[in-house]
Amino acid sequence: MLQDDEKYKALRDSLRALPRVKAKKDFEARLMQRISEANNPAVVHVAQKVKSESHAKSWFANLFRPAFVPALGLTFVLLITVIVYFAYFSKLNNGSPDSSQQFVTSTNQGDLIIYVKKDADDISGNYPKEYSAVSPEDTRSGELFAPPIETPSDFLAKPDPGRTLLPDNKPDRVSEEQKLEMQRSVDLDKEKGVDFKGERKSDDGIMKKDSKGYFKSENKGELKSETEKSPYNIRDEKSNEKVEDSPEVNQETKVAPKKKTNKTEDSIKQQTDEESQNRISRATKKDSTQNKSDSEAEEKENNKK
Amino acid sequence: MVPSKEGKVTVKVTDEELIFRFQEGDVGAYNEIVARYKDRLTNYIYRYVGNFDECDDIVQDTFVKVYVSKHLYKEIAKFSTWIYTIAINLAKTKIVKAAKYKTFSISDVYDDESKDFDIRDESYGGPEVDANSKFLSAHIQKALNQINENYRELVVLRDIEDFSYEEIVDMTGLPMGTVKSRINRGREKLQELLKDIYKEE
Repeated sequence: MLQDDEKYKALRDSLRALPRVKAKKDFEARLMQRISEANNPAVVHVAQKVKSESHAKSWFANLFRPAFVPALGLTFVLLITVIVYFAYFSKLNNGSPDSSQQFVTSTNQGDLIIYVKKDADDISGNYPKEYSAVSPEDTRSGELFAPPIETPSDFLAKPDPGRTLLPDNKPDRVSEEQKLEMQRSVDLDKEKGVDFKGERKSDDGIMKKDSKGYFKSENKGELKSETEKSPYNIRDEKSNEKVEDSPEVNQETKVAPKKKTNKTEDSIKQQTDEESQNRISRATKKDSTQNKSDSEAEEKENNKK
Repeated sequence: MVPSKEGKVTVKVTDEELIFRFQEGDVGAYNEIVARYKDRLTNYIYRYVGNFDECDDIVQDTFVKVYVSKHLYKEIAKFSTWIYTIAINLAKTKIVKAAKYKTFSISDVYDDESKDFDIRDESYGGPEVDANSKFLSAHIQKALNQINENYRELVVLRDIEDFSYEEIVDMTGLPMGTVKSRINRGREKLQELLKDIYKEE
């Protein structure tokens, strides 16, 4: 350290010999002035305010200067165009008669669910309606809406089973409201004394279902022709064929009520209760399980034969 | 204790005591600090910046900063170290700003001789000596302005203001090795620039 200092001794001496520069005479006065400015920021704020006000005025004046006239005019015209455009289209939308909105969705089980949103006045109409859950022929509920009608251009073509609504198509999900509806219908049938079920119980206890709407006539030939004509029965073709192919089963269905007349009244009541419960539970089962149980029952019957 | 001219004995108050008194609200202590440091700081900043007007602004800013943020001084370092650190930082900021926005000053047109500042004339040896010394100081200042500002800062602190290496380390925050090497390199550069003077000597 000291060696370095000695090495540059001449230079250091010349640097030390440099004349000392002194501050100006009015240094302290100017310093006090600056300190007082720093202590009184109000003065500075007032100055800044005046500056900013003048700046704001100049900005406002600059906005409407002649150089900006074309740009402002073009902006004005564009704004009016946009307003007129949207006003026209909003009028078109308001003028359409059908103000209700439909949202069609499908579940994993293949059910078609249509949500109908009515006008704002009727809030109850916003409740989702599952058309597949209740038969369209059932007109007991006045709240139901008609399903959308599709008019195919090719009338000879087979209807698409995935898109076609079938009356026998039981839903997988049954709402509480629909359960109550079904229970009510069962009670009504009970009161009337009508044999409401198109179901029979096989010997092994598995429920079997005959297709409901198109088996009213006992004539086998009529049934067949009707199923061929109706486009709705394409989905249940398998089950129908199976039922039709086994004449014994049909005979049993015919014979079944005769056997029941021989039973006592208590046993009939018990059976009807069980069957009504089964019918409700049946509605919640999947199509696949239905087919499976049918095939199993048939196999067992064949084995018995 | 220092005896005054009038024969009264006055107690020499340290810088640290003055700043503590000023922190308690004694404005007289602040005036004393200004009186003690205004010339020292002006000399140092002038040698570092090379422009008297800028130097004056920086020194004023330094004292304003001391006034405003007096409570920030803690008795960790010497007061001189603290006030010099403030001055160095302000000078560096000013240099950076000047480099960013290059301005032209009318005072730069004239030579250093036309500048209005007082020079101590303790060793006034007549007009020849005065002319020589003025020429020499102008020449050295020119050489100082030519070397890198990192070297210049440290050379001025060590060789003109006569601070110790430890104090320079405290002021700059640099490691001791860096300080030494920079001072040596600065001296080398200065010697190269002033070699015609030393040859004559």
